Amino acid sequence: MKELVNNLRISLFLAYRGIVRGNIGTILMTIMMMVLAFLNLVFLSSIFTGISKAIDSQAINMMYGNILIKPGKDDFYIKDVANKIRLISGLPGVVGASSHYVDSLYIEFDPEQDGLDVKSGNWITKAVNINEDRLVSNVSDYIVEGRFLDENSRDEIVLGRDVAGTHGTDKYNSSLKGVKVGDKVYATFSNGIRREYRVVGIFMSKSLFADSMIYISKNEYQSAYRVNGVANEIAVKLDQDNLEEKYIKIIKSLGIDDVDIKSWREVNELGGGITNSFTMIKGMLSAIGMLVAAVTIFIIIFVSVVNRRKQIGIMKAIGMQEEIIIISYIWQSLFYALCGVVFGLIIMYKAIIPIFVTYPLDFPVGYVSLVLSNNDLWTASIGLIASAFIGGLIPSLMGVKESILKLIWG
Amino acid sequence: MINVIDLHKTYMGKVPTTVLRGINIEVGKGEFVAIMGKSGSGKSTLLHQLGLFDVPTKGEIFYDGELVSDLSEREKNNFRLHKLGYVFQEYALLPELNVIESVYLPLKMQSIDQDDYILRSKEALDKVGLAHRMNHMPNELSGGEQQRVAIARAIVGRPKILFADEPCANLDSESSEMVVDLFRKLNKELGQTIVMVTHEPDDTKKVDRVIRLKNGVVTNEE
Repeated sequence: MKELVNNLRISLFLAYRGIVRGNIGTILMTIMMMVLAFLNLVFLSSIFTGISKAIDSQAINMMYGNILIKPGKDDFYIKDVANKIRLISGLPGVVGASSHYVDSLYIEFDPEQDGLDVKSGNWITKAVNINEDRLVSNVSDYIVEGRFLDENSRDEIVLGRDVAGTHGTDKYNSSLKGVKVGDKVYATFSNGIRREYRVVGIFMSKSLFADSMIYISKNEYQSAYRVNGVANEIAVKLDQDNLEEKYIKIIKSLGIDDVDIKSWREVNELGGGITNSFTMIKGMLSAIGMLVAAVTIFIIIFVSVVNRRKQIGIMKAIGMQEEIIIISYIWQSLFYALCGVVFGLIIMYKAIIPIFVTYPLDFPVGYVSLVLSNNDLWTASIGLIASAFIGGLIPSLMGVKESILKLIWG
Repeated sequence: MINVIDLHKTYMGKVPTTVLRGINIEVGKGEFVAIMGKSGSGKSTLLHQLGLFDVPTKGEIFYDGELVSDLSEREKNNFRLHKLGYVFQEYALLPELNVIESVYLPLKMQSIDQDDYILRSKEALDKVGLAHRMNHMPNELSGGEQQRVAIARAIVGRPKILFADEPCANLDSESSEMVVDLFRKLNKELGQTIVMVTHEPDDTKKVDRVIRLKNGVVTNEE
């Protein structure tokens, strides 16, 4: 034990001297390479985490809330909606609960009003209570033309930009190919009732799902279907994410048990699939990044070992145990890796993330900021340090295993 | 002190080369012995076997009756650290260590207390006349000074035997004389056993005994 401690001390002494009295240019260059290796790891992870967060956030804020309540197994509607909304909204930590009717409307748009070039299609439509929904959904924040519905809306409709076919939507998409605010469209409900609506707003959230949806007021649906006091779904918004399971239990404990209650993750199958795909890509890129980092450190240490073969031979000749020499190289590698992590984190948190928060990336899935999760941070840091360990160990091991004669005299 | 019995060394390769062909020598405690011979005679190879840098093909090496040629690598390292000192032909200093650090490194490896190893290193540097240069880096020293630092490092651990492999080969005549005089002084004053490979005929005047090699065999001891 005493020998081990002494060997560690001597290897630390040699590594320290090697660093502080080494070539400053080489040391700075090595540290810079480690910083770049670290940034390579965390930057890509942060972008993918940012994309996943953006998609998740869109799912929560525009589609499902944190918790989505659907009718029971054999029901088409949720019953006694007002009472359920009242109970759930009263819970501490619940920002709001909004009931929706969900239907697929067949929309027709005849730009010339001559019946010759009618654009049409089916789109998911949500009929909402505006006062309830503004607590749960932020779709109204993304209006790019006109306005959102209000509590007095009748015969009014709001379209996502992928429905309207405007504001940068791919022209080959199925859409109404250029509906503007003020245009009239015809909507046919699933029960066959056909009505004329005036387009009062177009929204563009960049959400993969929300921009392909239509909003009408709850009254429109209720009059078309002659229903009241029911809903197809209730979206519940919490003031904190990741507490869904806890609130699902609480909601059930309120006696609301004739419905199917799920977290947004459970209902967001497509979005979840996309974020899972990103997580897998992120993992693969991280693995490649770590391999690159390990190879980089390996090359640095290998070159150092090759250049110092004679010194290694001298150290062995004066009686230094091989492990002291190996560990001194590992210390040096770890030092470079640690510098890479520390300076990389400083650059990440003080420069790169603030810049991307101020100027988020305009991706097709939405505006994406960099999000450096603790998990990614630890993975990158430990990965780089582990890479440094291996990158320091292998070349130094290869070096010291040679005979003294070969090391000193070639 | 050193007892070498029927030592052979053949370097295996495409064409095996036999360098030592049955060396039998003895070196007594406190002796200053020079090994001489023409280039290729096997003197450096013999020193490498004695310094435990290499494994003989055949034969045995004893130090104070202890068979050392069969030790493991780890045991050889320990043996070199505690019992042998070695001065190389080149100025074999580590470039990132200053003079005193170079000297006390072997003592640090022996787990000697800091106060003690610094004191002993200063004494060793004093013996080689470089106490005033102890904070200098190797590249701030002349060749002769660097070689004297290497000598201080070799003797600081109070080795039983000091080996020197043509220690003056890269030095000018003045520095060479200083180094050999230093060996003589260490031998006389401290009773240090020294085995030195040399080419210089003048060195023979300062040693107790000369072992001459030719084609891997001892031809003469005088």
